[in-house]
Amino acid sequence: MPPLDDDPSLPLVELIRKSVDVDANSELLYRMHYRRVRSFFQNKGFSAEDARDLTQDVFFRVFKGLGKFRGESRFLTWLFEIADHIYQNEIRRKKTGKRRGWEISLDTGGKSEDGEEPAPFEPPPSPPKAMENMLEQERAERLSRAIKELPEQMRACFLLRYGQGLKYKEIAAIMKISIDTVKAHLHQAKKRLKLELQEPSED
Amino acid sequence: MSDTAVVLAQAFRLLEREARLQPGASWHSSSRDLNAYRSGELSPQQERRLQWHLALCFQCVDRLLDLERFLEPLANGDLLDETASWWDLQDRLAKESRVRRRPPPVFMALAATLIPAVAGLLFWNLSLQRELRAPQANFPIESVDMPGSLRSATKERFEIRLPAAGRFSLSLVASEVLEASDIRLEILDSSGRPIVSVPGLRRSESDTFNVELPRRLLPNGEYRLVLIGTLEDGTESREEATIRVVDP
Repeated sequence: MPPLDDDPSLPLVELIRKSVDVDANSELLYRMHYRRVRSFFQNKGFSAEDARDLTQDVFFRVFKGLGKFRGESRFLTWLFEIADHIYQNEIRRKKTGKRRGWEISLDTGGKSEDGEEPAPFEPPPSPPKAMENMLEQERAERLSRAIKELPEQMRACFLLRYGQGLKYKEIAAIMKISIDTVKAHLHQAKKRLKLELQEPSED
Repeated sequence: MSDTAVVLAQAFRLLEREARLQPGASWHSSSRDLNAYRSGELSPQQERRLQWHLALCFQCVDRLLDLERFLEPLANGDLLDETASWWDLQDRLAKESRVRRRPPPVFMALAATLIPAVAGLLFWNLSLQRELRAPQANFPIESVDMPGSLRSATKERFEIRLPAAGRFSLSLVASEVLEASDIRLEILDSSGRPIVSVPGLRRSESDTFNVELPRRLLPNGEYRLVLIGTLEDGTESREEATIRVVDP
């Protein structure tokens, strides 16, 4: 990452804050980062149209809040914080929307307010195999204790790979180590946890 | 899902729950913390703590990977809608600044009503306070001997010098009326037209009747002051004096 002084956005931000040719400098700043922000939303699975709207929301906030940007961090990091905030809000909004479902009143005898029939009654799934579950729970507890015994970096690599399903490359980026080190850690971890990871024999 | 995968998932959940319940554990890292981590600005201890959190938190891992991608250099190329989007944004910003400059009509109407009302109340309050603060002793007090008193024999008409505005007091020195009840003062102009009647006068300790009046009630000119009271036998007792009001 370039040092703060090399951040090409900062001179533009300064000029805008000093009200020097605001329109032209704002447009330059916008064009410098538009694709980055839009890609962020598209990578998150938003349609091109939604990504465009959300990107506009981000820049709307950027230009409204430019006075609050102190220049202590890189402009890009600040921009990411705003984009991430808008993304989180959008996710929350969508989740809230999804929750608005049917409500069937008990007073209307199983029918909804508008007279629609409720979904047919389905019997609950067959009772869980209690014994099997208990054994699994015991194994999980043993495994979690064994995972905690692993060295810190190895333990984190193991959980990122087998708990979260990340790729070697992603684990390497997160742990700030090489892919080879990730592979070595995983190999060692599996060896150490062999006993806990083994499927129980049938007899 | 194989048994091992199920057990692994359960073990992951157990570790996650345990980490969440750690005293003083703050869940989820801010973008700023994550950026500090990737820039190597955290202490080794903070870094280890964050790595342990990342190992168990999908959301923060996602955010860190997003940040990594966000900061990667971009390949060249323009997006077709970049310019159109910039124009839209400019419109939106311009609209926002117009809205911010002009308060909504409801607030305008409220302000138009409240501002004069508040100003009026303020002015009234100030003038009231000024009036209350003004010492009573600054009022001109004019003494008038009514005919029945001993001093009245020497003067037939009293000349009273009063400032053009404000209030003044008349101190009426009476004799016969002193014994009466329901005493009132009536002031008539030179043609006998009543100007004011002040009922319910009370005798002071120095046997006078004191009346406070606004100067505008008595412009320069001659007036008859009539003190009227009811005696014990029901008859009326009257004492009259003539005054001439002039500027000082």
